[in-house]
Amino acid sequence: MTALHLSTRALLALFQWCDTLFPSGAFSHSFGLESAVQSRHVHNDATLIDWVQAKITHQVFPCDTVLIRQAYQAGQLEDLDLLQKIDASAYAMRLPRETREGGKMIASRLIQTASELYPNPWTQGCQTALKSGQLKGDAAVAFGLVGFGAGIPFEAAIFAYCYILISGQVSAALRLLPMGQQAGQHIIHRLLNWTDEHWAAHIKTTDPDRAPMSFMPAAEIGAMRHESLPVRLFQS
Amino acid sequence: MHGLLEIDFEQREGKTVATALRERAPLKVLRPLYPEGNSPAHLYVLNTTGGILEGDQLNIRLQLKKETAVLVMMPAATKVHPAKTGEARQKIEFRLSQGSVLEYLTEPLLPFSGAAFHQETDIFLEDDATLFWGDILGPGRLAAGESFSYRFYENRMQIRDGKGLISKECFRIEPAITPVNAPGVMAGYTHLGSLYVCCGADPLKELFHAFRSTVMENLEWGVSLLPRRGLFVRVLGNNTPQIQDFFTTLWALFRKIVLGRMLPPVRRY
Repeated sequence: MTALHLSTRALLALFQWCDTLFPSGAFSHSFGLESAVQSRHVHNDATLIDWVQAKITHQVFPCDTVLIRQAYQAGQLEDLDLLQKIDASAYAMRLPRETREGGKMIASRLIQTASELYPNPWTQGCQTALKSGQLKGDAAVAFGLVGFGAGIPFEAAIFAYCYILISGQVSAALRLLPMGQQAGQHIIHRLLNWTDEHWAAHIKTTDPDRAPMSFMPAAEIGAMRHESLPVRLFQS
Repeated sequence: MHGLLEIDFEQREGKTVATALRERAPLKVLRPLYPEGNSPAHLYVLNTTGGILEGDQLNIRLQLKKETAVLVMMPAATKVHPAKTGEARQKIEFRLSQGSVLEYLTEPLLPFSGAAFHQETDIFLEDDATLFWGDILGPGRLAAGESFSYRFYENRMQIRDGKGLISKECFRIEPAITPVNAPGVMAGYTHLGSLYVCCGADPLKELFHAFRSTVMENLEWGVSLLPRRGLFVRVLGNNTPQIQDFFTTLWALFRKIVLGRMLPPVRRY
């Protein structure tokens, strides 16, 4: 378990972002799950758990959390040029068009909301940079931006990011698979504990300055195929 | 060994010729061949030791000057041999000047049991440069019963132009630490193919539609447009010939739509 020290203000801000009311637009995306269900790679509770754990192992921990950390560092330095480099590099790594453009939409909503809820020169500068096209808009980088803007400790932001992913994936699974609400809660509970355990192991064995890396070829293929599906429930 | 291969290509009276060449073992090239007339120059890159060994640092740098066309092939799979504690590195840098065309089709990369390998590829495109790039990653020496038993394979590949990054891949596979057979990752498949094409806007549109309409059984694959100038294909399968056949189909489409010509008469693919 990771011990966190949070102010009540930070804790409340976290509740707000993790709520489905928070207008990130993320809940209209299945982030590849719809495609994985269609190709039968995910078809029940066990394969859903494998899918989410693989996402956290191969994408979230080695790539997205590194981007969030880098966005925090750029925020601490108030260095927009640095943020622009991080953002451009993250954007170029999202190879399927749907992943890239879906992420850009979420990033735009996050940055706009941050500049309104936590107005300061940094969050507002980021919003201006996004509008001018200086920032391309990567969802993980934007998440780091919001977290820093709201004064939330880095690790708390990581867990919020994972929580949103897990609950979003299970919520999408409830619509895509024959699965009940109650079973969904058991899966969320299990995945949250798994994430807590594996994050602790991950940071012990990984150089925090390692470049963002991700390896999810089957999910990329799914995202590419999803672009041309005639009928679909989710935007991605 | 610190292998090196540095070649500049120039256009002389319509013919693509190698004007500067530096090579250091174990890397070696055969004299360019011209089975298709003046261009492209066909270049075979060899590794004379029969594979990449622990401690190797190999650098390949090709520069395609204005209006040149080069087809790079390798006669054999790149075998990465076991490394006890160290690792091996390969760096590939290609610079494509205005109006040049590079076709790059490698045989698969096979990291043997215990291998530890870094590969970095950097491609810079000037205006109107055309790229066709395909690579295949195998799971190891399947005949010896090895599959994903290497220590690690770290791959970085980026394509850039004057405006900045076009695409970037960066991954590290450590099969013993994070198994790769999960859904979303290798999804039970053993072979991974990646293919990039960059070309002008009109042929790109046509090529994208032609790729999308291609039907391929027993492979899981997808194609998508990059933010500018190109497209990207990922494919998963269970053996090399299957993916090579697929890449040949795409290569023929590329040749027809982008270059307006047929596939070369002699080829490995």
